[in-house]
Amino acid sequence: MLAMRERARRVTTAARLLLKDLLRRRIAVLLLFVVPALFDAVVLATTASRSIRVTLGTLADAVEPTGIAAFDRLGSLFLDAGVRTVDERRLSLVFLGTAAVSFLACFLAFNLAHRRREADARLVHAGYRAHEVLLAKLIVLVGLVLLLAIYETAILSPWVAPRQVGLVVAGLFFGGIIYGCLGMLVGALVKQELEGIFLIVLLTNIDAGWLQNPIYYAHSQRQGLIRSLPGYAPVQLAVVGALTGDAPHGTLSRALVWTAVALAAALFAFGARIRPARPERARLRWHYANVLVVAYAIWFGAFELVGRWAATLHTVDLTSAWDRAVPLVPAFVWPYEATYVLPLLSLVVMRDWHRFNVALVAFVIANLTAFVLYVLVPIAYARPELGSSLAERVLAMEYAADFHPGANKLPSMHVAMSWIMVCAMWGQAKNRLVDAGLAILLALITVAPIFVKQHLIIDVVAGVPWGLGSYWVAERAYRRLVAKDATALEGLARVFWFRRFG
Amino acid sequence: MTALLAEDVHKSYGRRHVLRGASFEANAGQLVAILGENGSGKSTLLRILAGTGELDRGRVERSGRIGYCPQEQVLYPYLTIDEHLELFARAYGLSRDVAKKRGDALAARFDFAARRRDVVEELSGGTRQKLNLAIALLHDPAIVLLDEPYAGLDIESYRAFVAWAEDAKRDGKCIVVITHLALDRDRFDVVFNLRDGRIRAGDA
Repeated sequence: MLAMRERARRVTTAARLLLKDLLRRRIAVLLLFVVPALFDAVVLATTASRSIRVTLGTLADAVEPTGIAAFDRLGSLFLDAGVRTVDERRLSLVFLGTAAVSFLACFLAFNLAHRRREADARLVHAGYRAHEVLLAKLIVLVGLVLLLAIYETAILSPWVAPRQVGLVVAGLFFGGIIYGCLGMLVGALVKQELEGIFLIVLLTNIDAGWLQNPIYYAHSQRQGLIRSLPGYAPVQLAVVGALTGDAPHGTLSRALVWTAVALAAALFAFGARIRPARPERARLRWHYANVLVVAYAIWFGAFELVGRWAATLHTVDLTSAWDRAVPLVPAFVWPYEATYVLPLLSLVVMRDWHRFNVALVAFVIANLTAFVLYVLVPIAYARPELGSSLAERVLAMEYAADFHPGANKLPSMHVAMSWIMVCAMWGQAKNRLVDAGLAILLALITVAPIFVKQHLIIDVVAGVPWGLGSYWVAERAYRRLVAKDATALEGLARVFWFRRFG
Repeated sequence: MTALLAEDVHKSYGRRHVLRGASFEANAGQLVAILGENGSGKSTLLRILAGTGELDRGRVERSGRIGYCPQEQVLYPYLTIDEHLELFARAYGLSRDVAKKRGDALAARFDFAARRRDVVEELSGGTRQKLNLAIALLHDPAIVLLDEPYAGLDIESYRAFVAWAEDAKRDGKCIVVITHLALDRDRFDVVFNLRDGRIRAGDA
């Protein structure tokens, strides 16, 4: 309880002082009050008060055409296409008001993050937890955005007379908070202030200040793209709230999703900036997570290339009577997919990262040798019909992503790579339960391709020794190439001629 | 008693190997200097010793709380000196009374009491450096790591710093100072030279 109270005190002290630090910059305060009023003044001075028809995407009923002309014509009479007649000046005031709040929040959050990040890191080194500093920043940001949203609604009201004030405030608030988080993200990522400001001006202008304008949206050829941008939900909430008495469909949840995504990205990037030095294991884990991403990308590219080529060659069907006797069990798609999680799991359990290096070398050996066979013996066979359960839908995606009529089957790389990964992980957790769990998972992954008809029995039977053999060869090659006292990163550099860590 | 130990510290930035196995040891009650040319990796080493920088390989051990004063004046531009001391006192977990007492003592010793209510943007470079130092010393750390601590200080402030260092030594603190100037090397108990990313035994 005492610790909680102390933490709360630390966060409130930081939030109070960070707010002071931000607001003592006179230009920031001036911008907070002047920019929204300036945007409104420009609209009032330049935009006529006249009726125009616009499409408010969030009011449109989402329906799939039935394909029967009479039904579709009848439906269009009763369905709402989101078209409304509104006053252009009032619309522009609300739209630009949202843009102004988004821009200001983005700018303030950038300022809060970029110029102070070294000082924030020092604060963390002195004893603050990184999440306490982040929370303090977030409190400052949310408070300022809320104030901005209320201020903007207040100065709009005499000209707009909003019909649903709550929705207008919500729209402005979400615009501010989403773009505030994006501003913080930019502040954490860019080096120089100028490039950061350039980036936030560009971001807010293109989305919140241009594409989300309902006048533009009505005639856009890519409305789906505009709807997917962060500014869509806030602008729709504010405009619909200000000018109509209607309820927007699903806009709040869209705004919440964007808020969560932008917030998570901002906190992650900023947290990484201010965190203290990590212990060796965490550092290596991060290095190898990056290595894994690169390895996945290279493997995927190479596998696709070979598969596409092999699929154009003359294919053979090696389906045996045993394969025909095995039933389709869609539930096995879950252990089948689990193979993609194995390398991630290795990041958690691995202690001797040399073994991860060996696994990478084994992947290369297993794949390169298998590619030869894929080209020599491209295999194709008929797939079963699938139903509509979740497992079958996931399986249908796997079938769709596969090569047509077929390729890259013998040996099963799915199985070979899983065996390699488990060889590397074996005994690393220093916990028999973990090893037992790995063994069960590996057994399921091994048989899964047969039950989901992604591989024939012969592919799987070949895949196991292929993986084990590759690991055996890789281990011996690694021992020869890498000095005994070398670090794992030096070992990685040595075997892949990758000089960065050398 | 060993207060700070670095063994075989390696650090690279891309292909540039800044530290290639730097090792050294500093004891409690010692004033230690690490000398080296510009760009020799002194600040990198100090950051690693302080725990703000990550090493590629090697080991660092510390036997007490660290007070670290970076070379750059890492401060909040629109907070006053007092607000900085309040914020960092919270970070160090100091009570209000203790923080006030230590803040007053540091302000008196380094002569910045008159500017305590001024924001950093309005302070001279020297006063900012005093605040930079005060933040590192506020929690009375056992190990003090100072990166070019005299930068921007006038002669009186420099003397105040020397007097503080003598007192701190007597109190059993381990003080490591990074400098590219060897002019006052006689003041130090131990002087290390960082060359080609290494501190060899003979360099001490």
